[in-house]
Amino acid sequence: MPVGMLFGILAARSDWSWWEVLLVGLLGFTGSGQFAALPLSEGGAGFLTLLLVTASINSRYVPMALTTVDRLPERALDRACCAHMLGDEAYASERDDDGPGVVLRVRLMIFLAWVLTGVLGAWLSQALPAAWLGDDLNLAFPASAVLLYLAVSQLRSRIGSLQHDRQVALMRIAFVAAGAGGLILLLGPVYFWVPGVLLATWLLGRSRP
Amino acid sequence: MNDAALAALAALSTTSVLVRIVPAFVRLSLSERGLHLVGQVMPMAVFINLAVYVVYSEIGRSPLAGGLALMIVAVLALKGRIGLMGSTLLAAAIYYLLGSYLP
Repeated sequence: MPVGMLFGILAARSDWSWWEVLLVGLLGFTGSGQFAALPLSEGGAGFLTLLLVTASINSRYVPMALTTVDRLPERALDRACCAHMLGDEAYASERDDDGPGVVLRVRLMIFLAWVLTGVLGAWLSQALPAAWLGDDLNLAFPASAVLLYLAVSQLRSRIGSLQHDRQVALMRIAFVAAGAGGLILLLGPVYFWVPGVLLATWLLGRSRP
Repeated sequence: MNDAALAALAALSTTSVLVRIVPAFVRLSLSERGLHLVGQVMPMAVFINLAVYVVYSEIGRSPLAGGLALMIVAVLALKGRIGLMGSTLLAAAIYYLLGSYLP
């Protein structure tokens, strides 16, 4: 709930209205993906870049969704809604023998808590006196810190799939990061994404242990 | 609706469809190599670029405070000690504190 509220506060400070926070929470419920999308969209990133980043951050849901298919309702609309509300906390809370009714209730509660605390955060942010938060204060920093933490954590958890030797894998990642750094200096922070990801995929995917 | 919120909404809802709704209805059959590339290599490529983007953006705003605070976040994430919220709070405190004194 504090994280949902933090999202609402940061979104409101980026001039999103409470109903925009509500809509993004309802239709774009992706947790960390929402934190990633906020500074990127404010920085002028396009749809494809945003999609690439948020889909990658949330790619962990693919195996979660595949392994919980049998718990979902049969009706297509119910099934789609229930799948959309899948989150880390719900996945961790559900059991293999839970029926569709239980799964729907668990996911709905967590989903609504996230969405409503986001709206609450947006309201709180608008209620705070502007003087408390100076114009030169970089309010986006916590979101950047969240993004970096998520990126590094994801890399840490996936490094074993790249190469068994951790040091070699770290060197390859550092080499790819240097390449991405070169591209961002050359092309700028908006247009480096697609070539950056393609180059990194090519470099990382060239050999397998 | 402002353009940034609209772009974010479109990307996030498409993401939800791709990573949660489609797998609930369709089963994809990829080769082992394809699965490895899509499931492991490409997300890693994105996360490396994301980290570079964050560092580039924050160092551009405040080189010393931003650089130091992000370095602490990266180390804490690698160690996995105090979690997302704790690391973010600590880094933000350092960033705003240093930002008051450093360029």
